[in-house]
Amino acid sequence: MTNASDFEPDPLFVDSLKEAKVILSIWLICFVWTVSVCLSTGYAKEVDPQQFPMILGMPTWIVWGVALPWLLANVVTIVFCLGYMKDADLGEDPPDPEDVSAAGVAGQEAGHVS
Amino acid sequence: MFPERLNSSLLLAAGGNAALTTFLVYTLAVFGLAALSNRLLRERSFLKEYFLGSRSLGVWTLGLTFAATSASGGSFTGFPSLIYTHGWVLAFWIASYMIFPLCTMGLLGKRINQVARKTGAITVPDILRDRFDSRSFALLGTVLLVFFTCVNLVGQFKAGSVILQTLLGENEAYLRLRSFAATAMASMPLFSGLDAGYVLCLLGFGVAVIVYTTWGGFHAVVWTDVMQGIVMVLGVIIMLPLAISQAGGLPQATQQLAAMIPPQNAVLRITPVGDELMAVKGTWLRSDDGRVFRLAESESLTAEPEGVPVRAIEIVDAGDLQRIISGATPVPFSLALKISGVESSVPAAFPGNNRPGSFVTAPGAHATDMHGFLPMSLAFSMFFYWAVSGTGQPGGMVRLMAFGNTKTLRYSIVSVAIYFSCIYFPLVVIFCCSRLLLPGMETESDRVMPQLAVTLTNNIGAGWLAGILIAAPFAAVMSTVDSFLLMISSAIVRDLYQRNINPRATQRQLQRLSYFCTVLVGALIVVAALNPPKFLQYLIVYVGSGLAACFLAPVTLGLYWKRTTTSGATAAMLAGFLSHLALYVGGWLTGGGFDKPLRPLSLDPVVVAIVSSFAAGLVVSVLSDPPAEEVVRKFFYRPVSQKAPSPTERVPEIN
Repeated sequence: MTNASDFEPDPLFVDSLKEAKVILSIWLICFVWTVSVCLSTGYAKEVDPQQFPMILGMPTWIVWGVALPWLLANVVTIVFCLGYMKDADLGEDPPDPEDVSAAGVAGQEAGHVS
Repeated sequence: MFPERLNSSLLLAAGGNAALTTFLVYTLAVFGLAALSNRLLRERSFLKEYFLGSRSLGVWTLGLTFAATSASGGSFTGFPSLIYTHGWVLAFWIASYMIFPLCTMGLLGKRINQVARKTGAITVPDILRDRFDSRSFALLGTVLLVFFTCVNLVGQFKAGSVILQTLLGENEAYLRLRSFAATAMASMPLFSGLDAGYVLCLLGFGVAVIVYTTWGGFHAVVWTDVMQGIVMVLGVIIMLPLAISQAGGLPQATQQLAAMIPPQNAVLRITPVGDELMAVKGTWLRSDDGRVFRLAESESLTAEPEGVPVRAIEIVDAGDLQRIISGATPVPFSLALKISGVESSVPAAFPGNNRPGSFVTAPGAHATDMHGFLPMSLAFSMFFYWAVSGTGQPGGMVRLMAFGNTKTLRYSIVSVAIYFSCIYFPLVVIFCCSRLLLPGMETESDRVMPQLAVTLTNNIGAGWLAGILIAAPFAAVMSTVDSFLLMISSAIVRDLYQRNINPRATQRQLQRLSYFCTVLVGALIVVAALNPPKFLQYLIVYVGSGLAACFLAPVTLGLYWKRTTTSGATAAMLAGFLSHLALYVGGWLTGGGFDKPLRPLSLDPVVVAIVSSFAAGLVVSVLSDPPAEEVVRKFFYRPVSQKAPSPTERVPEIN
């Protein structure tokens, strides 16, 4: 008979859940940034081709609404993965019944050869 | 043959030779990788190696197989076509790829791998079966997985054949083989009425993929994915500077796009000049008063003087016209056809009155929709769509069950993030520039990728490079198809046969059945793709997101919420499936067609389905009896004795 006090929350589960919450928050920030910038500045009614605002040859609204957050999202991804995400032991597979039977077959075949 | 189409044909022939060489080198390389992979199968536990690579994927293999499987043929055919047609707004449309790797790999990665190891699971239904201790729930998952993946595969095989056909173009060896095949097919009832080129390319593509996938299993698929992933990024990296420089620099290109007006939709009356009785789609024509048109469909002609009506586009942008007339952009005008009258020529539905700017602002130009390509209401869904529905794809989940350790996962997410940044945003830049180099491609925009590859490389006198560039689309299709094929056969062998029919099956029986299933499923799909039903294209739109609607909530809740019950998970899967289906059927019943689903609150069906699926899972779990204590302990706890000593805990000294 096992007792509840013999068990503790799996640390990989606890860490994964914490990390999942952070990832969803990052997604939400990217979502709010990109959608709000693009919706407010990208849907222009009139365009003057001679005065069209650009940065490095790209439309300004794309730079502020997509390119810049994309660049920052990459930086955040790198920092998150290499600095925040924790390593953990993933465990081992249980022995497969098929492995056992395969070992038996292999043993028989080896016996034949010898 | 139109003499004036010679230039275009020569280009296509050059591209075709390069593509044929690339395809042959490619096929040899994938067979080599399959042979290497097959050696591993003899050394390791068959099923785990064949379907999961023995959970031994490293950083680059995990990263590139994940990226290549996610990037289907659409990334290199449909996406460029959309950029060309609608402009810079596609950067906004694809923007959630900025967070795609972190969401799709980071949200479930560690946890799904750990749970799969706890039970020895090698497929997604396997995990569901063990986590919820229910064979019937796993069976439901298997049936949905096989259904959605099979329909999707028919479409992907069709796309593979069409891409190969386009790439081989006017290659002489291919043309000879095609005419030989046409003669042979004439006497076979199975092939009656089918296009010989399509059948030939389908068989070539299908046989190559089926053979290397069957022979080598998961490792062959992963290694070819790595090779294909490298080809894709190389293609983009080479094209980017070529496209920008040939368009006169990015500032110049965007400036001209800002002034550009989309072509008008026209109907012309065409008469033949000589004995040419066919108006071929893509043909360039010039009217007596100097207007420039390109045919948007092929039509048989008659000798009657009033001519036959044919749909076309009229180039009205001053910049395009200037480049065409000055010869800066060589366009082969037909002398064999004559415009006897212009029935109509109307501006694109958006921006409507030939206003400039629709290629550099949202919602983007659109020939037929007056709301433009990406109206504000839809923009919200798109950001949700890619990242969140991508997380629910079982093809990605299987890869997350296959890595060796958590360090591999962390570095792979970083590599995929950099990889996607090198692909998707540069593609937007490249194909925005392509508008200046290839006018009038709206009539066949799916061909813009190979056409641009051939144009860019020929302009710098390096036609051979086109082979590498145009290899990218079929690399993308191949890497998706092989993964799907293996996913279906694993569902049949593991989830149906071993788990439900013959749990005592020997290694050898499973091995034979796996080979047999992979070949059989592949062959059946090739046969289905020979003459796919007309509604296939609509079904593909539906199944593309259907898997995420069915699997995201049950898997996420099962991994992260202890209270999730079998009834809750089943309700989540059914709610996702049914609500998604209902919106498509609703769209069809209300006269919009199966490809125009209902969008409550302007939300995409997959967004609605995923929300419904999570809601059903939560509510039904709370209302049903809690899961068994030992199940919760197995998946969410560990015995205290396993606890590793923390650095702060000191072992008491023994004096």
